[in-house]
Amino acid sequence: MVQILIRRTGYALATLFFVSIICFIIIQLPPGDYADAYAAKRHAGGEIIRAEEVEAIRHQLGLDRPMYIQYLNWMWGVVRGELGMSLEYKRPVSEVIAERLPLTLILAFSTMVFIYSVALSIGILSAVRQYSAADHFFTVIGYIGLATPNFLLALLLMYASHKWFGQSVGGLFSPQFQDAPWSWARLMDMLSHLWVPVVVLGTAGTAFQIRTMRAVLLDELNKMYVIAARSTGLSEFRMLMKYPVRIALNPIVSTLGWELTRVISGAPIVGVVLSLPDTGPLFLKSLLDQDTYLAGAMILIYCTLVIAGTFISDVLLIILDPRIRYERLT
Amino acid sequence: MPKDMLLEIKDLEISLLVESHMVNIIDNVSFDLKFGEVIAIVGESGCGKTVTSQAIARLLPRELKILSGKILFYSKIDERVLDVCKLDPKGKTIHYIRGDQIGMIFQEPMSSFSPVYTIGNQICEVIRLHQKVSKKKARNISIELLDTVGIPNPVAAVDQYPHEFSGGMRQRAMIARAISCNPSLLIADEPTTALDVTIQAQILVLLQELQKEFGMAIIFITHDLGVVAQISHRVFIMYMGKIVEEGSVHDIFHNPKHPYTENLIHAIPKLGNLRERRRLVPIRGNVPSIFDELHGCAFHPRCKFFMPDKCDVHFPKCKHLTSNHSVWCYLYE
Ligand SMILES: Nc1ncnc2c1ncn2[C@@H]1O[C@H](COP(=O)(O)OP(=O)(O)O)[C@@H](O)[C@H]1O
Ligand SMILES: [Mg+2]
Repeated sequence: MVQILIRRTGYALATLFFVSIICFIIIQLPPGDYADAYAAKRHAGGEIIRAEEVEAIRHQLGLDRPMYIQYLNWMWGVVRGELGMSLEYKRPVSEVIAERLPLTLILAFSTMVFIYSVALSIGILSAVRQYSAADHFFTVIGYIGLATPNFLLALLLMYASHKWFGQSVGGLFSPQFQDAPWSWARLMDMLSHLWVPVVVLGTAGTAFQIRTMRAVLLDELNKMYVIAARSTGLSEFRMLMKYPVRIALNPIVSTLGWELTRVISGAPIVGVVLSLPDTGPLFLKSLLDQDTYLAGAMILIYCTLVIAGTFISDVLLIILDPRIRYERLT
Repeated sequence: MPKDMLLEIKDLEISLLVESHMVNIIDNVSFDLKFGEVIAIVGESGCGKTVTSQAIARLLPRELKILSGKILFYSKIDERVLDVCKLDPKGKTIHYIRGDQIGMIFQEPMSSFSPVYTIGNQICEVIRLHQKVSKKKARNISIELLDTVGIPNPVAAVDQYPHEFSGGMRQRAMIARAISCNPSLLIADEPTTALDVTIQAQILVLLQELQKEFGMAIIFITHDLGVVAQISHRVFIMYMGKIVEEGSVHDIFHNPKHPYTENLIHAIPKLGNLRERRRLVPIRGNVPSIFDELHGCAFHPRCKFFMPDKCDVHFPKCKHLTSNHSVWCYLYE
């Protein structure tokens, strides 16, 4: 078990390393660099900028050095916890991100909790009561959920929350709490806004996981061990939870990392549409500005979250299914 | 119900409900079982053996309904005879009968245990469900049981997972779980069908020994008449949801009356056959589908004694040949 964990951690770190290289390359891919983007912006403002000036900025920021040197410098900083300076904000990247990252984490975490708590209970209900009215109802809702684009759902929910709940549109806070320090009231206010992005981000995933749970559980319910467990006199509920549901959790858990990926990659767009004060809008802007270090750090953080999610789902799976433990050991 | 009876099934009818249609699966089945008696129910696949046995523990899937009939079972906890058909299948009574007074083993030992819990966990669960014992005590009982059913090194086996067991060992563990609460009835639904011939014989011997040791009654279900001679006292031959012949093992093997029974006997491979070069005789045709509307005796399309306008009109009445040998066939009317 410990051996497997160590090996998995190794894989995760190796993946992270490769991902960091790819991140860096991707950021550098668009033609030009921050110096060009800066010049273009000043130019658009009516100023005249000479080529030497651009070159000077480039040199000052170290953007003229070979790519691998830039990468190594960046990585060396990352390892020590320094993410470099944001070229646009002229502040440390870590500072810029720190303001917004907690909200992203809260949003991602809440969405995951939403997806799995709703999907598991409805999935189980649908399978156990196959072809019942409830099953048909959730099947229809599920297909609608899968087929509705996030932005449309976002607009609908914004309208609903404004019209029926009298909430301000967009954002995560009511105006009076916008810049207030953290307090109980502010937390409550945030939670009352949080459901909109959570539902927007989570609906497709929930619908998908309901289908998965239902299909897998229906399969498991026909297995011999279910009737064998019933024949021991176990109550139906305990039998369901301990036997078929437990097995049906495997495919659910193994897609945890992948679901988190979907949530995290969906989050920036939802963040922009709903103008949330999380990392989403910041990320988009950093890409437009070619703010190398900021964008790099953000991609790296997103990737780390995904890799961590996958790692957790792997570990959970090993804990859940002794057959995997057994295979890996022998 | 007489005092020495454990189980009495009377005129049991079970139907399959398909979109407001009803198809009869079990038709007028009656049999009984004394305390400590071993009976065999024999018939080709699809003739309704599993459905009959699951009805006794009310384990039928939703689409199968008991239409009429009685399943009288002497419950030692209540100290009286209950009609299982009248119990709520989700109620308390059936739950303390299952596993405690009726143990069941199934055809597929490979999939009868959940792969994600240890054998010990799945046996202890049953023990603790029906008896007030500590975890440690339940574990010790499990180890003893595994020993009783002949699993080598039971102390280690109790913490092993099903995939670490061979098919034969799993069936032994399954038997251990089924008898863990000392049931008065053990239902063995084709327990040896999925196993190698040598393992089959071992399991049969084990069941026989356990029966002698614990004295429970056994309903042994099989499609292979060859394995019943050794273990059972009485045999019921089933065809398409009906019993067509019943009798002692001796009657059935040495004096079979129903053409179907005879056919089953000729289909048993015997070691001697190889030397004598006698051919095995397969039964003509296949078991019809439950959706075929067959009137009269369902065996008539395959029967070489088929009598038109008789066999295909009404099902024959019961003919008692001796006190416990009966047959349902127009040849004897
Ligand atoms: N859940 C079910 N749904 C539909 N048909 C069923 C179901 N269970 C059993 N049957 C039908 O009932 C008949 C008897 O089945 P079964 O008792 O399993 O036969 P066997 O004698 O092989 O154990 C078969 O024709 C089978 O197709
Ligand atoms: Mg069967």
